[in-house]
Amino acid sequence: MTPTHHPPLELLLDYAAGAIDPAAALIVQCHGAMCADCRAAIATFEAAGGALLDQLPPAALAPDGLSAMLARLDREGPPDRPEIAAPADPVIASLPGPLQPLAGQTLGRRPWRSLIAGVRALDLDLPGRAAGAVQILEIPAGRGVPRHGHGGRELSLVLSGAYADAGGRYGAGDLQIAGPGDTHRPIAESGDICRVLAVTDSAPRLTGLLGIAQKILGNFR
Amino acid sequence: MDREALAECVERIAANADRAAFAQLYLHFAPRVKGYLMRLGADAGLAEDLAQEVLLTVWRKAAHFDRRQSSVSTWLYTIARNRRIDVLRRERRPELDPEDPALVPAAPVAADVAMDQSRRDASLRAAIAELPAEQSELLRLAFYEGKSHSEIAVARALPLGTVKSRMRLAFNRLRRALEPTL
Ligand SMILES: [Zn+2]
Repeated sequence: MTPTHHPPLELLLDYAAGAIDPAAALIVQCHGAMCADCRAAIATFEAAGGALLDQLPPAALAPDGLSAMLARLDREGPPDRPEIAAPADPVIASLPGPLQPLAGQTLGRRPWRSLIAGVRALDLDLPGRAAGAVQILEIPAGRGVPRHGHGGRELSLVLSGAYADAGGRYGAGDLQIAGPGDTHRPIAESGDICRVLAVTDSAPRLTGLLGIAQKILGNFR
Repeated sequence: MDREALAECVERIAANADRAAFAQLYLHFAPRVKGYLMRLGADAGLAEDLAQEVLLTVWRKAAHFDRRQSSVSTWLYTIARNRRIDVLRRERRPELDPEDPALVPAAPVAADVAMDQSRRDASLRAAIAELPAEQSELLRLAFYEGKSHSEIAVARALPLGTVKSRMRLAFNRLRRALEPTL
């Protein structure tokens, strides 16, 4: 089950270089966890980053740098143990590794929220994210969201199941990038429940999968 | 310090919470990470503070390092890069920091894919040194100045397509340099 819709190479370079916002970085990390080819491409760019870091002339550290560092170490305690407990929540456990900590923490603070016709959303608090939105959407088989347009760029990564719209079929690991002006009406396929990590860039009006969810939430709050 | 010695330092931290090994890593990497963050726009005080946070992450997450998958330089670069994504592009709210997602262990590489890492490193460095000037500049703008591909196009008054094709050419050279020798 190899993804067929990949991030463009330039998005992988932007990620490797850190020239990307945290939400788009999360999408790239999750796609990388589900796609061996893109994982290898990211690793290639990151290896270049490591080599370039080595070539930088060292900056002078503060005179008390090492002692300040060791004092922080004292407050820190011993290194973390390597084992990571599998999340108790089965939905969280099914998510790609890079998403599990954030989704697990979020679920500790707030529940999934029902939107329309069995569609649920989990709003993720990506720390310090100024604008835009990050959500996991859960769409039962045969359900969809109404036809909608996009005010900004929307990145949708299929985590499980599949959906189809006029642009094609998107299965697990596939990334769909919708630009401003695109309209689409995704419908979840039968089979596994469709979960999507959806991210919108900051935009004056939020539309897309997320925009729909937010408008609905706004009406019910 | 060579890459094997650096990798041993990380492994000694993971195994024994070895502070002397940590001090060696700090002295090697903190000045470079600080320099990297200052290039990206942090002032000296913030860069020093963030460099300490990066090294602190090395301490906490040492058990996640796998020398078969990357060099210490690359691993540390990704930690610093992630701090940059989190901090320099937006307001600072460290109290809400989640676990760094890049530190979740990746699927292990197959043993037959793991290759002589030292040779791979040398080959990559040579490939970077031999890149045509415009491809080399592209990588430096991306990694040293933190410019996205579209920001590079604007900064150099180049069509986006030109930036993308140079990037792909550079990528192909890097990938070839990292391929296992048969
Ligand atoms: Zn891919």
